[in-house]
Amino acid sequence: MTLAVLDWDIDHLPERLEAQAGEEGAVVLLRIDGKPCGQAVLWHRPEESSLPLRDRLLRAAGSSFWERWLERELGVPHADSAFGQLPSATVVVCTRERPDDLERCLEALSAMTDRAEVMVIDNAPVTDGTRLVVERFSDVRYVLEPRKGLDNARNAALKLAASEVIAFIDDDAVADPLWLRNLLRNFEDPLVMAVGGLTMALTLEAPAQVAFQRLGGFTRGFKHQVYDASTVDPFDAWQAAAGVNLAIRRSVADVIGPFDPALDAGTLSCAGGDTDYCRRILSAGYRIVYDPQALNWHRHRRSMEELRQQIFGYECAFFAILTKALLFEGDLRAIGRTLKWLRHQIPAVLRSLRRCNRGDLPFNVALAQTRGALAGPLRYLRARWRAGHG
Amino acid sequence: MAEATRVAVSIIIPSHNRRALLRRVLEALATQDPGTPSFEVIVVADGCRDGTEAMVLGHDAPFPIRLAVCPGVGPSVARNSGVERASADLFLFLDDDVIPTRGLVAAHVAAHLDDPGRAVLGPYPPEPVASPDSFRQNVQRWWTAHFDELARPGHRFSYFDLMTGNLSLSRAIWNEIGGLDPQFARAREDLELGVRLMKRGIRFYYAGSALGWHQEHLTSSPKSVLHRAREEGRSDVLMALKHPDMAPMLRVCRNVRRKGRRPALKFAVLRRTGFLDGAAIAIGQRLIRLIERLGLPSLREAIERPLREYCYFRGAAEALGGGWDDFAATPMPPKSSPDTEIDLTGGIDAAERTLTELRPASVRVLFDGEEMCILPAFPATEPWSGHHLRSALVRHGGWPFAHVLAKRRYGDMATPSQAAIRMIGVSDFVVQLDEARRQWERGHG
Repeated sequence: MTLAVLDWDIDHLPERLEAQAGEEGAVVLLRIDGKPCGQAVLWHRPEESSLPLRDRLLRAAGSSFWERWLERELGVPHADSAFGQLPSATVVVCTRERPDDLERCLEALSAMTDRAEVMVIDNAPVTDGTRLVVERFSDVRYVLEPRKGLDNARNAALKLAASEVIAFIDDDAVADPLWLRNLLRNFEDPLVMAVGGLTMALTLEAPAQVAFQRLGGFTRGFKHQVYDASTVDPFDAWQAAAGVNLAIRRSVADVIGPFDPALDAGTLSCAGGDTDYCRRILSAGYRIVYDPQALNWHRHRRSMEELRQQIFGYECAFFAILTKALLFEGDLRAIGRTLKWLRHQIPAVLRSLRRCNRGDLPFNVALAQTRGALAGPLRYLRARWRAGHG
Repeated sequence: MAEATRVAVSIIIPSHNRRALLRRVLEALATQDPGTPSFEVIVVADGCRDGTEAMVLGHDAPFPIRLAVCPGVGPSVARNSGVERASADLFLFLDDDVIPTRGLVAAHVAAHLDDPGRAVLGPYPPEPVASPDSFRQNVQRWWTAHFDELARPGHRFSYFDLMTGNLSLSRAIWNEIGGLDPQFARAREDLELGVRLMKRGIRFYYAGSALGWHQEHLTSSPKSVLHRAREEGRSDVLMALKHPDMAPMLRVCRNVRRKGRRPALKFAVLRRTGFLDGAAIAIGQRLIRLIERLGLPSLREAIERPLREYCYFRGAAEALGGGWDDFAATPMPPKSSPDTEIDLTGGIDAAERTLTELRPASVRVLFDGEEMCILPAFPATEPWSGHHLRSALVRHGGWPFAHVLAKRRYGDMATPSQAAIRMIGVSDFVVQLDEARRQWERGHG
């Protein structure tokens, strides 16, 4: 199953939705006056397809769209942060051997409305593909980080960037023209140390990409939020933001330290460097804003095997972080959080074993998660040992 | 000259054993923007044993400072006695833990020059200080949301907005109202003043640039919250006795005036447990701290909430004494039907003009004869006016109106789905994830 991904303003719609061969429907990002405010999922079905496109979209639109729409109809200003004095920013792309993705990412960054310093951190490269791509962009800075691991690359950026804010974007993501500006406007509150944005699927042309999006993808909703440790459990800090679309105030490193080199891609822990950092930001009493106007698009993994590894990796990383909190920070809350996870996961596994139909997936999600969780603690300890002795 | 030149503003600051903070307030007042109208400061040292008086008398400032001394009578009496020593025709009340920014005094004066008949409210949000403590985060969030709401265009003011930490009023209004009520010695004295101001039809004005930073991280603690809950219970009883129409807004009335035997039983217990208060507060605090460390937020809430309730109703029981049964038997004021109806068929502009003309306490909003929503009446709240209408339609469940508007704009087939409407205003993460999931399932097997 594949779907089209579209980006439309409700006032400037095409006449109809053209179905390409093999597509079963479309995911539409809806904008009002250019501002992303919701999504609609359309399926190509005979009884629906006869309706005018606009009617179909409006019937499928989510609540965030209607909130914004009613405000506009009534002339009530939306309670957004204003674009005051924006802090200086460096956009950082950490990458490893993905020259095609990286090129698309850098092209979108150079087409942004705001000019900003862009830095590419080439993490433990095997070839010089990344360097060759960066050379084609005259104003992009190339930095080599020989120590393998995404968090090592992020820490290199923390060290080298001179601006107030560092905006991280994944190498396989594409920024909206106003992405950076919408992240930066949320830093006016001095207690805000990180801002996350909305990440939509760039394409849904492979079944694994659709499956990931249906499981939740990077969806964090379309409503502006301010999180602190009492509105979101720091262990669930991924709800506030993720590294694919994350700006942090550089000075926060002086308070909570650098990213943990024993976490995230390139280590045995698989993922979680961003979640761990956001957890520490919240635990230290600071705030994280989620601003859906700060939009970028992510190319999800194309194969089911990669998706399975991703799901394994997320759970592995979650337990790596719990292990870290319990053993190295003496944080007893990790026990409570583990119990909560078990209460949710045991029934989920039992349900998944009883059910023969797994939807479109060739593997059992709940089991993949459980394997990841079981592997997490030991993998973190080994990754930590390696990071210390590597 | 026998008489000193009259100053434009008298700044009244009651203080209780906060010498160091008070000095910072005085220093901030000394560095107001150039061109700030002349002012004097009256410090009311209320039961101070930390040398506040000596600090004030020895303080060197570019404005006159007067000192009044009270024996620990609480902030409302202290403010009243500060007023007695004030010479200006404009009073500015500041708390001793609110550090003014450089434009605060001038902003208050400018607001009164524009229109002298208003109570001017300045914001004093918490000084942005990071704290991992959930108590502090909740307090910070509450205050920030409070002032964000006052700043929102279309905010409808009520007695609840009146706080004395950063407030200015003319002498004429103060005299007309009769100042703060000394009965409300430790809590709600500001809200009670707000009730009387609202009932007199005095308008409130929010002056965003009259900003002070509340040093609440130095002056409030979970412990003071429980003590405060008790004082609030006491004050709510006094409020209900003085202003019977406020009953629907007061928890003690909503709770005690229920039918059934539980309220009577509750009082029978509460009147005899005074000896437990000290231990309950002390042990409760330790328990809450322990649970917080273990990371069990729901258990903490499960313990803290009843503890707060207990303190609140202990305060209420003390204030009522033998009068509990009479108090419980007093009926709640009857709910009234809307004062007036407006129909939006003729356009929102016309409806706004009608509201501004009629200024009703409550309104039934119609479209083409069909009810869209009711804009409710609340006691001691400013009447509805045109500039409230648009945001009230967004906030007060004007969702039938969204349907009507969408139909009119796009035709019958293009209306919001029920699923979307149920989620309007909901911003919980998990619930939003569910909404996205339902969007995927919609129209697909």
